[in-house]
Amino acid sequence: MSSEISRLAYGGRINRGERVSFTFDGRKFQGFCGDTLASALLANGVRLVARSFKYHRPRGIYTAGSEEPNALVTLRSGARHEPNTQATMIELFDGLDAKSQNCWPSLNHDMMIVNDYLSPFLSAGFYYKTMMGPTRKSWMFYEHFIRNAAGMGVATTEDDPDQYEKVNAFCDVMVVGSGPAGLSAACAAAKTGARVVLVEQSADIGGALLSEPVGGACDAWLTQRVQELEAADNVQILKRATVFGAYDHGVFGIVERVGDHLKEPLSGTVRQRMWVMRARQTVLATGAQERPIAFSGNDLPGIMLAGAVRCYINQYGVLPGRHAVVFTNNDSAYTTAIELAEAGADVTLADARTLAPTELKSRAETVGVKVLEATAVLKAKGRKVIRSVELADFDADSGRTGQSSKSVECDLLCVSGGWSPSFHLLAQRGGSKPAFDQNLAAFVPGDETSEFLIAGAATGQFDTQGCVENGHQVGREAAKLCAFEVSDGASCAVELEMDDKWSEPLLPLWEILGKDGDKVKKSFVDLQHDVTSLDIALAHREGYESVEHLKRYTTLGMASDQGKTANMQALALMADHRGVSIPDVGITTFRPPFTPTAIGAFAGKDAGATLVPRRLTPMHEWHERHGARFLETGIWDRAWYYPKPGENLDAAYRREAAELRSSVGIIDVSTLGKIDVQGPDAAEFLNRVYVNGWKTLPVNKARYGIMLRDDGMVFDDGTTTRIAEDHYFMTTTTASAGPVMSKLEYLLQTIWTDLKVQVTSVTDQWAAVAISGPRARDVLARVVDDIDVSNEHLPFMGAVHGTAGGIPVRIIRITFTGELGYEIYTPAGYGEALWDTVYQAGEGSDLKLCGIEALGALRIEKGHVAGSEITGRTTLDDLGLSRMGSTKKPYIGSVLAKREALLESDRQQFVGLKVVDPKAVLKGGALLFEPGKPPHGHGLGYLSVAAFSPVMDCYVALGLLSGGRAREGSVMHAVDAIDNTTIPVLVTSPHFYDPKGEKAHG
Amino acid sequence: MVEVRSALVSMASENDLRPVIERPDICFQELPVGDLVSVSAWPDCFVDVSEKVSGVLGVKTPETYRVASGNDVHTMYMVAPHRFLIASEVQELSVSLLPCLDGDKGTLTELGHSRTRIRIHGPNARALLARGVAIDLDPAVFPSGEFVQSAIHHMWLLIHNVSSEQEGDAYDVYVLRSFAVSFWHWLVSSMELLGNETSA
Repeated sequence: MSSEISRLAYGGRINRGERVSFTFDGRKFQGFCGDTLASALLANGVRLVARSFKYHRPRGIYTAGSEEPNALVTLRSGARHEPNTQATMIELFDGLDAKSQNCWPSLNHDMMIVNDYLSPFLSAGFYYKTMMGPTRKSWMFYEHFIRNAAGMGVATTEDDPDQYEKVNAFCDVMVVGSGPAGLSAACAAAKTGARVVLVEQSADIGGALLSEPVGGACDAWLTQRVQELEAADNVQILKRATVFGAYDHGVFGIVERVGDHLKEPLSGTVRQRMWVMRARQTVLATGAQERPIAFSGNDLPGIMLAGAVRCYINQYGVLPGRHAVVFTNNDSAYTTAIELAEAGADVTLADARTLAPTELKSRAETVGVKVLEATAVLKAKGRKVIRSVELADFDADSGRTGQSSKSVECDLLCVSGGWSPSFHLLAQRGGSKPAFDQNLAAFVPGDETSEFLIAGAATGQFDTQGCVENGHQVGREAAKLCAFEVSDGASCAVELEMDDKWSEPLLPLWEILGKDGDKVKKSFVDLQHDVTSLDIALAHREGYESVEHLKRYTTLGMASDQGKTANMQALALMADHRGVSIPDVGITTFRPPFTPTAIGAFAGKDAGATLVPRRLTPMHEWHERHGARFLETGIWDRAWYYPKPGENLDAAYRREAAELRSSVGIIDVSTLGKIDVQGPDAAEFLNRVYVNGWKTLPVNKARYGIMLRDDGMVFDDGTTTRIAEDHYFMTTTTASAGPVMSKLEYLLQTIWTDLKVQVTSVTDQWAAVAISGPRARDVLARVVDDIDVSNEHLPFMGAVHGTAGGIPVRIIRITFTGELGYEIYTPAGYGEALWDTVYQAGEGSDLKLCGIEALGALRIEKGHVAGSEITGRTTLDDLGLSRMGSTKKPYIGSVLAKREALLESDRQQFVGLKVVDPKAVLKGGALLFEPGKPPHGHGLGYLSVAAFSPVMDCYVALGLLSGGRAREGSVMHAVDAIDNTTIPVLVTSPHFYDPKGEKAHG
Repeated sequence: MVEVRSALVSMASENDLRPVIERPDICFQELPVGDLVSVSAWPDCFVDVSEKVSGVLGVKTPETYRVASGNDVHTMYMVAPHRFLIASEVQELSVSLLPCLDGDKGTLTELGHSRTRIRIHGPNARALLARGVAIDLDPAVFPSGEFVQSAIHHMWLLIHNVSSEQEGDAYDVYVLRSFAVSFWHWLVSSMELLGNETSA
């Protein structure tokens, strides 16, 4: 058990009364509740925590927040194993198990460090340049090795054991960030009565205020504000929640890490919750992010951003080093130097500016900080941690260092290159171009930030008091924009007096060159992707000058941290190479997510069996009770087959199909789309949407119809029955019920507004039972109460109404199997009762259950087209149905169906296919080739569907074949590239069974 | 006469025809639909038909697509231009309404078997629905008496806020019958995670 050698005896916002044990790479450590993994590791003196992506260089903890580029670790194990988590964002919990990654065999002795020695050969884009030869296929060989070497960490392949959920939420004002500006804005907006949501990515409210010393002036202010917000009914505070994405119309994605701070989520709770927040107004109080300065060796463990060091001292009571050098170009790092010294470190401050701020310098020197003006860090030295820095005189005007330098031993180097406002969410929305603030040497939100309101440091205002005042104003403005009354006299009752305004301007400084003014090696810009300033220079030399090209060529900013600590430097360096200003280089587009977000959070509960809802027919439970197996067809669960003991699918459907042909079968067809069409113009309407005529259809008669799309391709088919003079009952295919309904509504609402027609989906209103087979009429006659079902009274395509066993029914004599058949419709609540009544009545007639697999085989025998032929690429003529198209009236698709290309004789046409060898087995999808021709390419057509035909006693298929009808009688080869089989098939008419339709009419 | 079978009968306890799940913070139960019809009028007949239908039902004609109007027996929802969905606690609604359309003034379609009605009520009713529906359910925005047509997890819904002082937050949700079991499963699984928020 290691001791916490770097833990201060006082301070911090950790709970010193609650000890927490954790392991890192198998070693046991202790920390406190309130620590992050990063702070606990630092407290325990652990500096080396990771290896870099490409060169496997030793890396330590660089920041204290979500911008961390270095300290990526793998958390937990087993199914909860999660790579690439930022140690700076992991709340410490008892039993936490973290491991280093991207190293072998160990973090301390990583053999892949060889990449660092090979770095001259591994510059940006090296694989594009060096891995393309010597032959054209070389890349295929190299790719495997490159892909194996690439990547960070290893994801688990086990199922995620945790639960996630999505919640829709709404508010008037959403405030992102709970620093001084955010808190101030939230309080101001809440006072107007607006519904306010305050979102904070950390566990604690306070933002930058938490980096201030405990017990200081801001603590009282912070406590007051939090109490005020927590007491308000109209305020919701989301902690451990990151607004990762901003989308259209004020919609935001927020991931709340509900259980990530625990060993595992509590029982009955989710690990993460995705909030889909819709805010009328949004205040971005997202603060600013500190920038580094590049110099040789600037990636060594022990080098940290100065603001992060303050955070570790004041929030976590950790002193990251006892011999510190602070390197800065601005005032903010002086506070870090002072607090380091007050905590017991010996501190040297190198200020690149010619003159240090007088008061700050004096304060620093009072506590023992050695302040060096006009001084820069030339180089950091050390192997696995920083051991010393080389300091040199620095001329701010020329940007050059002097020839002489001196070495200063240290174990901590704090760097501050200035601060960049963090407005990623605004940038995600595009639209508003950021402006470049010369004083801050940073981009700030542009003037036309109409979509969001920005407050505090995110605007470029870095003093605390200014942030509080600005937040207050912006919060009121947000509420006002939501039409809440804002009293003019309301004062800023949220004053917080802090003297942290910068007194001297920042010196823009991006990289310290060598003494000779040349670029230096190992001067990293993007730490996570190992992009150096030399890579940027290379990109420029090779013509990748555009910021977008720079990004893609070097991969700068494309790591999981999105280059939060790198982008500004890169732009500045490219600007320098090109001799233009930074704004002229431009910036790349930020895209969601702001920080890596688990896929599980996006999926929420919609995973596994609940990925999509299932639609069940009214007879579903009956089928279950009778042993049906179900098939997902679209989102319907349909009775697939009813196996007898020992039967598989194949045996069951062959039996069911044969039984129906010899006796009678009962099939659940409730999934058919059903549309109620009513109105005085209903006949005219149908006449326009169907290819065939409808005006002459008598009442109580049904007709088969086909609809085309506007482009002349077949859209859907089905039967429509005239219920009354102005009332029709349309059925569609199961799959196209929705699209057909939408199309009909569209036509009536936008194209034919003059027609008095109403369409209503009644798919769920009606259950449908099909009985089919030679003895169907016998069964039906036994079921109906008061209906004459004789051929004379109920002929083919006739319809009647009445009752069956006391159940109201609508009976239509139609068939999909080619046998004598009826579809019996009843209101859905009676569906099961009707089904059972028919089933019971059929027992004497040997009525058999028939699933849709058998139904499919029967329709193949009969040669009916279905979804596998109505593909959106077939015309009426392709399907052999051109005679149905009326020549006496126009209809949708009638014009474009006459396009030249759709009339060509070599189009793929609907045909039947029968195996030449009766023992051969056919599968749908096989391609058709002429015998003797090489089976290359797409062939002349394909089998759309195949099945064993009990009638033909062999496999038959339907297919689409180029010039198919003219090929009837010829033999083709059905080539299945997956099974690697070639089966000779005879091209036939698609109507294998009862081609004259005598059975159905009998 | 054969009983109308609930789509959720398999979710109900033994001997019950309709399912109920009760917890102190939330309750949902299937209620009988009674009858449900869609009444549409041609644009030039809409006012006339509306008045007649309102007269027959004793219900004020809804004026917006958000506010339902009704009495103890009938509820009228204006679900589309010139179109009402009318729910009733009694059967045979179409018989009494068809005369309102005499003279080819519109159409009537029976839909009583096409929907399942589930009442969700209790202090967490809103939180439960918020897990699925992208509608602001805050009473200030969506007060009692209002309804919306929306979807949860791809399932079409009509949600009617029927909150009252006696019952507190309460919503009648109409779901297509074929989705009823899936929706019930969604409710149950969402409920299991309710009330355990650790930081919200």
